[in-house]
Amino acid sequence: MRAIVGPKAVLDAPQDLLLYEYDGSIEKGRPEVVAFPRSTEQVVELVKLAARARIPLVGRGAGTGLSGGVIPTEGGLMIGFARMNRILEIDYDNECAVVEPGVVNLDITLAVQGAGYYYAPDPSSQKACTIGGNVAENAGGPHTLAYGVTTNHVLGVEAVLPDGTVIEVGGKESDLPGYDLRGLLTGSEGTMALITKVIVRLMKAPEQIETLLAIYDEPAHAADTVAGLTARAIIPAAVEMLDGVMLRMVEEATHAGYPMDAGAVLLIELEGLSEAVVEQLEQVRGVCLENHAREVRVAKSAEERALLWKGRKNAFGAVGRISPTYYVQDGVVPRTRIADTLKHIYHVAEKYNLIISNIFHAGDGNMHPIILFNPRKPEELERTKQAGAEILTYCIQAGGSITGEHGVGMEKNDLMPLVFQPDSLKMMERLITVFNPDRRLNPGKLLPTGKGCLEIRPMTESQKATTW
Amino acid sequence: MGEMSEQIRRPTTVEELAAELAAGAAAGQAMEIGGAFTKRRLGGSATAAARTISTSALDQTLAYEPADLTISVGAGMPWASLTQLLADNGQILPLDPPFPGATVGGVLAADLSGPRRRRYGTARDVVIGMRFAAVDGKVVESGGMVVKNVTGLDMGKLMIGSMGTLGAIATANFKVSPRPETSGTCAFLSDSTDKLAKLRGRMLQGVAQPTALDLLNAACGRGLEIDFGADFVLLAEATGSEAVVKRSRATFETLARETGVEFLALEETAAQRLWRAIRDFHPASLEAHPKGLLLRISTTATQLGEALALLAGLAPDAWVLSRAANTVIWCSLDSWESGARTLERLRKAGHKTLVESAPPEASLERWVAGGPALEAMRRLKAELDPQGLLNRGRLWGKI
Repeated sequence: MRAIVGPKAVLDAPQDLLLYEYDGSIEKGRPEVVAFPRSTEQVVELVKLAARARIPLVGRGAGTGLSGGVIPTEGGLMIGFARMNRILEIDYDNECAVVEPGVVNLDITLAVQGAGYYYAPDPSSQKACTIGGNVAENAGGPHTLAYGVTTNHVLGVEAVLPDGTVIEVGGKESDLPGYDLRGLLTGSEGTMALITKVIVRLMKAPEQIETLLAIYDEPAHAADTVAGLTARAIIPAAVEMLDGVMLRMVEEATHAGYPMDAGAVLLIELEGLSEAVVEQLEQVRGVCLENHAREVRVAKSAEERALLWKGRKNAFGAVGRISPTYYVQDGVVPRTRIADTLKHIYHVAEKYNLIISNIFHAGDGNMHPIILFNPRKPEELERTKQAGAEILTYCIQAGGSITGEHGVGMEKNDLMPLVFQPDSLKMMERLITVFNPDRRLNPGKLLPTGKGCLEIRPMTESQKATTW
Repeated sequence: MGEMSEQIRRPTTVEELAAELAAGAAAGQAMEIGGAFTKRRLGGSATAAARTISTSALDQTLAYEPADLTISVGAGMPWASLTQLLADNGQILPLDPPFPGATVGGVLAADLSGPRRRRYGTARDVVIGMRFAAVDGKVVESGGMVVKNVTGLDMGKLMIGSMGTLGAIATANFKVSPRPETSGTCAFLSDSTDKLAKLRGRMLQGVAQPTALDLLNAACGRGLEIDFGADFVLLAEATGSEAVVKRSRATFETLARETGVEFLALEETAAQRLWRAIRDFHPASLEAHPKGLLLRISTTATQLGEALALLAGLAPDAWVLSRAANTVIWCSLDSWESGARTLERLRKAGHKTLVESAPPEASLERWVAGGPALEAMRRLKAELDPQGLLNRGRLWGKI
């Protein structure tokens, strides 16, 4: 391996490997060796080496994933894409950029915003997470409500299959014939191929942006507002909700100006042509007040707007101040079921005597209940697991799903039978094995392993520092 | 084309559909799967099949909660019925596919879309869940009824555009959009593809973005009976509130003046007739050119003007329609024999050109495909349909 990537680009000392045994989830698993290629050719050589030695391998971007997608479950080789971090081409004429997998999500926008463009999917970890991981997990974010998730913004990918074959799918051109392999690979959680190049869509930045904070005494009224917006045919760029438990933690940590005594707030962003934004601002304010918002504030400056978003994006850090260990969920429900799902979550919190704070992408029904627990109390851990399972079961029964953007990984794979019939799971397995016949690439992910579910471990200090 | 089968089988449940496939597979019969079979001349025609299966009886609305902005329907539902149901609730699913009698399943299997894709995308952007029957008789489900979902592989993507070669789409779930308050259409006339290509670029660089942006030549305009009397016309639709449409139109007019292109604002009824005619470019051109060639050119913005100029020089009488923002061009030529030269020149100039339709006797390379991506597609086909029974000949017999 050192011959392929150079002596400094291979780690195999135990103290070095320690840093690669976790991601943003609660899972752990140590690789036997980590290699950092600089080119697709080096990836191919590494993959072929692993194929000859018949050892498992997994790709890793920044390790910010929340479902254990990059955790080596069987040791083996980890391919880190940190050195493949170049933006290869920015092509404004064709509204796209060609990037290596290790490019940080936000860096694409930073590179093109001067010309009035941006890359739309914006996961909360966008300052750290990489495009390769975004494609593998089909990452979302607050602004995917209006513009779609990663799969809607990937025009083409180059990838290396577990036998070392380089495959190019999609491209700058539209409507290329044949099966949509880029659509199949996007969101396959690194189980079918290693992404080595991505063509991403660039979008024109909006003319005007307005951010509102609507404050409610009752969480149910905030949820009703979301349904009310849909009923009025208003699709904001983002609709985020924080409940009272959450916003008090956030306010203490960030001082974003959130009210300490409220039951819930909605953070609503409108963007587009000035004319549209001005009209929608009044409509949205109206819907909020009709649904008993006690106050609607509009950010008066870019600084105020940034502060409101800082509160949202630093929420997990704020939770960490209160409880170093917590369990984040990612269930999705139809938009009309947000209010009753929230009510159920509070019921679960009471039943299991746990603190559950809620922060979520309300606009598309993507809930993120955060269950706080003390890992030193084994029975509390047990209650946390049960509460989590009960919430996800409720989401499924409400016509939703168990993950909106974090992925199945090794965290929710054993819940998959609650969502899909055996024939559907079998078909997923068959499709994975077409690309990854012996399942050496990222084993133990996405599909049930039958090992039990929702195992929770405390986060380390370094995780907390890097993840959010 | 299904001549061998004594009748079209029309299962009434998803399970029956799966059983039809399994029975065909057990007997080793070649099967043609379709909805209304409106696109038999498109995408590589299916060869004679012993068993013809239509999903047309799977035409029910399975779930529709307008406030959730989602709908689930059977694959056999006519696309027109689906959009009518949504329109009754002030909502749209603006794929605008050609072929008036097409079913939901057929639209997805052929991955057809229309002018408003600039704003709303194509099938892959609006399908949130799907059930399909596999050739082994299993019913497979992907996605669900929520707009954001990464639970499991996105198998629906694989079925979109597969032309029924991997299985039979049985039901589909969509995310839908609220109907915009109003719309306005502008036409830009010029004899210069260069000027229109430049105008196109400037419109797309602006903050006032068109919802639809199509370009057609005079022959296409005459064929579709929407002639503007210029060699080329670029058509832009703006949607949104009155103020947004007004502002967009003013912006487009200014750009037209700066580019030296004639500008026309169209009346609502004229605009609707225009977009309807453009939507049905495929069936109209196939009917006008029964022994012709229908080409699909996937090019880039940088090469769009050049490709259009090449077509103007080589085949001035061909119908040319471009979804200009997405830089796809369709070109319908009246004779496949003379059209073969145009095809060759396009490919030589580096434009990725596909023969969407040609008479069976035309000896042409329909799809220039190869390499590891095609290999991967063949392996997927072999896994899902090991005997190669489903829609033989579709996808130009390449997979």
